[in-house]
Amino acid sequence: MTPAQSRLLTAGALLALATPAVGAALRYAEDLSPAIVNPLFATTMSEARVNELIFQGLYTDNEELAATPALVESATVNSSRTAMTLTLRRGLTWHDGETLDANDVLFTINAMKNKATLSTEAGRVEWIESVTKVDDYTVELSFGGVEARPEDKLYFKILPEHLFDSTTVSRSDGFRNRPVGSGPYQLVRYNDDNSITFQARGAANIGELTMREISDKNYQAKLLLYESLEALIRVLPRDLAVLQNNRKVELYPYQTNSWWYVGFNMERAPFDEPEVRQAIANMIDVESLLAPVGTGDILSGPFVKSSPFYNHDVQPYGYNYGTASGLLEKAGYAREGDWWVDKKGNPLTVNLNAHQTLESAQEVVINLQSQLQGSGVKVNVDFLDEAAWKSRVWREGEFDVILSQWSFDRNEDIHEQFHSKGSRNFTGYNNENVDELLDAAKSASDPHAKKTALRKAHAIIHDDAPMVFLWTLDSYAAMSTRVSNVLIHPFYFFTYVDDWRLQ
Amino acid sequence: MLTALPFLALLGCEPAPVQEVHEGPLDSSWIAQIVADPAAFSAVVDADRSGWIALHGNDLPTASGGDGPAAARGLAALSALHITLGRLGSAAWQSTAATWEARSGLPEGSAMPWFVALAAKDAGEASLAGAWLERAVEGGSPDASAAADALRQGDTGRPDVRENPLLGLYLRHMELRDGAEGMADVTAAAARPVYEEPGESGDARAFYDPQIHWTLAEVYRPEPAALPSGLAGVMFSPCLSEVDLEADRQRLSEGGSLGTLCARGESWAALGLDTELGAEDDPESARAYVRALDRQLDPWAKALSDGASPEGRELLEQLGLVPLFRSQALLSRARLALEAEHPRQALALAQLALDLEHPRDLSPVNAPGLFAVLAESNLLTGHTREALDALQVLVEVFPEATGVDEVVGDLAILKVMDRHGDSKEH
Repeated sequence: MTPAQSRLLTAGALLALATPAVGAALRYAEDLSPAIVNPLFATTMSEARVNELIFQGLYTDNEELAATPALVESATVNSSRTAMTLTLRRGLTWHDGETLDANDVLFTINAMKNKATLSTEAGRVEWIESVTKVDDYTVELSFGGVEARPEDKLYFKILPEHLFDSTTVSRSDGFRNRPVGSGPYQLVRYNDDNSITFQARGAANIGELTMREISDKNYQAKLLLYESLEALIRVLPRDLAVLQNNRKVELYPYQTNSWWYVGFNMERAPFDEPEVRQAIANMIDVESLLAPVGTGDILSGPFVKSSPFYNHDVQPYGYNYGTASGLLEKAGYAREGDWWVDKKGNPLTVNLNAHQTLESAQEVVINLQSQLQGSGVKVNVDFLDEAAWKSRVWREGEFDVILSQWSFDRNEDIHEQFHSKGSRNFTGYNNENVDELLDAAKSASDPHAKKTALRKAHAIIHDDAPMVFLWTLDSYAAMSTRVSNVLIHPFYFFTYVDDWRLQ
Repeated sequence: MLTALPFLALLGCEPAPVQEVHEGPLDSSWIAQIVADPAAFSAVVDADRSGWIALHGNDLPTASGGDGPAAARGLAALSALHITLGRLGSAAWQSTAATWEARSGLPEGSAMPWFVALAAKDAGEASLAGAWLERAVEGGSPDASAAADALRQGDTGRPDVRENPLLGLYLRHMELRDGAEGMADVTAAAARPVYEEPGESGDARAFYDPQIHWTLAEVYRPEPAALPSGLAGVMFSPCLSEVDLEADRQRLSEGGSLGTLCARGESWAALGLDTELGAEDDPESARAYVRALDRQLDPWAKALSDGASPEGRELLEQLGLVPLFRSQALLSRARLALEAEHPRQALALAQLALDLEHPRDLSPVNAPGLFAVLAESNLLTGHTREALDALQVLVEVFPEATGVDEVVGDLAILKVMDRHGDSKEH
């Protein structure tokens, strides 16, 4: 259901959506159903969460967020810390009953490393030089360098080798619709209403989970209050107070380092000119944009304010038409009537794309359009569905300006977004100094050195303005009080779902 | 950011007839007292209007700046805040050093062991402090080595000792704790690095004052007898009644913790809430406790409002007295859980106490101590990065908390230094 469709729902339609709880099933809402269920190609948080339900890694986080074995029984690292022998737990099976063994580990690592696979997760195994099978339950990993804590990097999900023809895996492989994992839940069916049903395997207390795609946050909140959902993944700040005051609901904060941004395609004119990007940054009243969403921290760079890497000496851009005018004039534009025009008389035009299900994006985009047009920049808006977004933004670079959101785990590693060779560097940002700082941060063993490098990078990125950084929002999940023993992983959400209980 | 409270309800407040109160801990609470007798409330507030406005809004620096009962209450709250921050800082210094040491060894010739030793010493961990002091003597920077050697040998009286920047600051803290003047200078200095050395990348490795919060906790700590009595002693506090406060005054005079003021006691027993949360650190017990509290507070608050005079109802609602009390009570209880080494329970209690309408701001409900407890309980449960979220709120109001924020940040970085970061859209 699109946001527009959701908004057309009347109270009657809402009641029709509201269905009573059935048995011991927990129903949770996602803004967007996963486009693909294959950990090799996960790009969105909803996909990451579903992968957490279905698949397992060699290691996972314990409740204190330290690495603990998942598929692994035991491990030894050689004295030079350049190789590791992993012994898998015996008796593990895939959801289709096949045995999980060393072949699956070999297959997964090799598939991720296979350049023809085009895995979005390839960077997670770059440090592994080779993987060899010692016996059916033992593999040896050789590293490209010295690894202090290799287990910390072995969180990627393991796939069933027997369901693939080769390590060259296509994004369109049928596995995406019939995923088979070894995790706590098995995907049992896609339903007609775009929901997905999962059944517990093994030790999970809750027998069944249902993911319902409900893109409108208002309706998510109402369905929770009507007891037609048991969990909301993420509540908008504006709804927090209402839900907090309802005694049938409890809120659970979890830390995601996520921020909204307006990103420029720096490989396209006129956004390849820093003055144009900075001028647009000075035309945006971020506080007004944020108002419909609720409260949040306005940012000046690619980290959230509480991050150790946030540079508090750098101030966010703010609305300043005088500064914007000066920058545009420097870039060769002149104000003629309602619009800024270039030397040929063409109005400065922004084609703005947003994902159609980004929470509250429609209100933000419309306000952004209004703000920029009020300052003399023409704005054409196009909301893209998932397929068009992946194609135009991720693969083809067919966009001028996007509104989107990045979420990071506790590493807050912006290398992929801002390094000239980063796999998620859609904007085409390229600054040698930033590359050096990001490389230095990656190799640092002193937290002070890492902080210093990334705070410097923050300042440079802010000045270069490949993006206008907007805000970060607090992340709260809302749960019915019928759900207990809840612990939420700050990034993958469902890591401890086995222990959750539903009355 | 502090939420200003206009105290509109107090303007032109006329004495209202004292209403009959029912028996029971809530009915005889300070909330019921204020609602029933707004004039009594005005009498207390009028003596120090700005101080009480500040205390109500949890603007503790302003509240503590006066010389009346609100200031004494503000100082007590500040002391409790800094005890939590001191404990948090000490835990973070030790954990950072241990994690760094285990991963790659501490940087050679660094002053870090000196700072860890002081953090451990202030936390009362003498043997650990001794070990780090020894380490500083043997392998620290020249400054750290000299300072540690002098301290270890009790040789701090020599005239040249104060020239050592590390030992000089340590001695200053000891003097301040003994009542010397000059706290403001040391507090201001704590917002910046107090010592720098060459770091891995050629930039400076900066260290912040690890002792500041322990010193502030000591300097601000009021004598139990100095805490105000009567309505001024209990309003906006977790003490339901003056009886509870007086009972706890005795506990405080015997060395009890300020932070857990009225966390338990007769009123709670009468409400059936003077219960243990279990021997295990089970957050579900804490959540059940909050639900039980809400089951008592919700209908009582409604009945109180329904039966109140217009002036009383205005005070009740505009000042948010029930949510304020609820939050203060949960904060006190969360500190009790921390003392019992139950950080998961403390975390659940503090999370449920927070006013989510302004989750990043101090407000009448969101006391600074609440964010400190969130930070400490997150740190102790391994959620180091989450501790920084809570500290960020405090640093904006208490710049002297920058050092704790930085060292917790170092720990957060160290904990994931060997991970491959993950990022996703939306």
